[in-house]
Amino acid sequence: MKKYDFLSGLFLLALSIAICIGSSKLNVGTLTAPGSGFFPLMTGIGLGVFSILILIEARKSKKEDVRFWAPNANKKEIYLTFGLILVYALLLERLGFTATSLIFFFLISRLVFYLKWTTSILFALVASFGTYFVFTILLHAPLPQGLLERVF
Amino acid sequence: MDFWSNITMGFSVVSEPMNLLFCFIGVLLGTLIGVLPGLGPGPTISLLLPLTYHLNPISSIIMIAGIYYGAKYGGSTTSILLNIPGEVDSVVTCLDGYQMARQGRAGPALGISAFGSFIAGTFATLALMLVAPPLARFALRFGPPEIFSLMVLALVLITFISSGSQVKGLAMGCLGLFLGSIGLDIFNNVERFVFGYNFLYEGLGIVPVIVGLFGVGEVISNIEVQIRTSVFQKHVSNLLPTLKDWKDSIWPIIRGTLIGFFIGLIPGGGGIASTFASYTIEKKVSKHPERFGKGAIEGVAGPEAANNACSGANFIPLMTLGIPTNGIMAIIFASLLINGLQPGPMLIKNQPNLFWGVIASMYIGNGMLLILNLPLIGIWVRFLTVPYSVLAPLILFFCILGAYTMKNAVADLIIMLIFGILGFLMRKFRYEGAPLIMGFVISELFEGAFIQSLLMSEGSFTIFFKRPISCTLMIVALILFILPFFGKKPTALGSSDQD
Repeated sequence: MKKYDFLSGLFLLALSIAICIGSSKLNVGTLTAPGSGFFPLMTGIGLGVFSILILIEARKSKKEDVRFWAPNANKKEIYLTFGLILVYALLLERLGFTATSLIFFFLISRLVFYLKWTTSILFALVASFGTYFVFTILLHAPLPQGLLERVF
Repeated sequence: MDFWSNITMGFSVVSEPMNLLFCFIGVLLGTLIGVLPGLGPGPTISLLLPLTYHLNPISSIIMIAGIYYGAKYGGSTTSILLNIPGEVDSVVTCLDGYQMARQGRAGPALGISAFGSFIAGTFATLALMLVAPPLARFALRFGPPEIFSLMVLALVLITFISSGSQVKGLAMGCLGLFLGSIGLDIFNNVERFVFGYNFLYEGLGIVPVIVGLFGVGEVISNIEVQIRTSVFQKHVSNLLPTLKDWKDSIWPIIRGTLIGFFIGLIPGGGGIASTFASYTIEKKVSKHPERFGKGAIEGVAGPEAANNACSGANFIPLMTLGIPTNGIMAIIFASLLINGLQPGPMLIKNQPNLFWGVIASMYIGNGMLLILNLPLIGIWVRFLTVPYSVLAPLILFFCILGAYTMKNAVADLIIMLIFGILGFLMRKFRYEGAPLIMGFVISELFEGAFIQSLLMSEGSFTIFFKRPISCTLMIVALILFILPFFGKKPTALGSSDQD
């Protein structure tokens, strides 16, 4: 854990400095009349102090380093999941809810969880049309319209 | 007889068909997700947050509470039959529960955990009803310095009790407080850290942050090493414990209930801390400690009771002081806010219908759970055969839906994704999510109390030490903060519940 504590401690320290700089650009005010930047500055200072303590703990620690990934970790599938969520966000308002969900659900079932082709397709159809029905018809909550919604 | 009229009111609230229905949905969902490993109450409740927006607040909170205590019942089923905790809190139940199942005694193990849970859950509800109103009345006297000190203590406690490093936890608490301050500063009407992005103007949404951190983060961790499931005993019979089982279990249940209840009152005192404490104590007082780990029914009865008493007690600090004691309570805190209710001392006074309705629903919910988890246990066992690869796409899809439909904003999906990655990295680097979420949800209240205290004292920090209640709270917080540096951190208590 030592190396990772060191890395994460450094990252948090950098973040705390950024927070402090950002807050000081707002009106910090004084103790008697605190401004907008006052509280974020305090949280930034707090984060800084604790990240330095994390670094000290990491230096003292004698625990052996563990590997970041578990043995035989499904790394590709993890990256793919993050990627697919990003693609979903980018396509949602262009293609509409049903089409985007259909593609997302199919790809994630097939490529990340290795369900059969047929199961993935069926699953994707049921999930995307099912939720569209629940949200627009039962809950009257609007979802982005697109290609498929216009057809029906 | 104000007390009785309040209870009667509570039961009349919960007996409205809609509320009864949502109580049932809550405990049903709770049992389901409790049974399924890899899906906990945290993500589930956060997924339902946008939906509760469309319901009335009382039904929502009744349902959400039902999910929380229902999951504790369901979690033990998986522990006993699969040796995998359905919920993190049920990990102790694996030790003796699974051994009982291997000896063909899955029935009594499931039976005693359901009865133990019922007894403890009912006791905790009763205590909640008796303790909460006077405590809230007391807390009404709190001014900004007391509220601030209380929240400092809560943050220190949540990191003190957690299994991980305390400084890491406190760093996460500070980060959470900072994240909560993004957006429009309501005190000065100035925008903070918005960087021209309009969607940040209202601040980071509670739902995308929580769904990302707990929901997506959890699924990703499970993708890394796929969960395999195999049920040890598919056909469960003889659920009713024998007279000897009862004799062996009754004291563990009583002790477990009391331990769980008191641990549940402390911020950071998650279910897992209470179950470990109960197990350790049962092993200590037992005349045959060597039986533990080999299928001792006391090792199932005690921790299961503790776990459920704890979940009831968790509501006390939330409903009376406005302090969420763990990650899931922080989510429930958020759900109250979303429904326009401010958790804290005024809640019972301003929303008696809500408070007493939720209490009454807990009695009824615990009764429903007893039925769901005894005669209907076979249904849940069948759910255990559903592979995770089928559940996971659904969970991810619900995460997306939950995050998006709150405000119909694509930006929320990006926020969810960022916090999903953060949640995954935090697990890897051993940072806990609970202090971050707690800091995040109490940020506004925390800042308000802090600034007001400074204004009251004309800029002097001594105000936190000049007033007796505030001073006591601060001193306890300081002691707890310093203790770990002398190696006095309780290691027997596990991490607070992340999922």
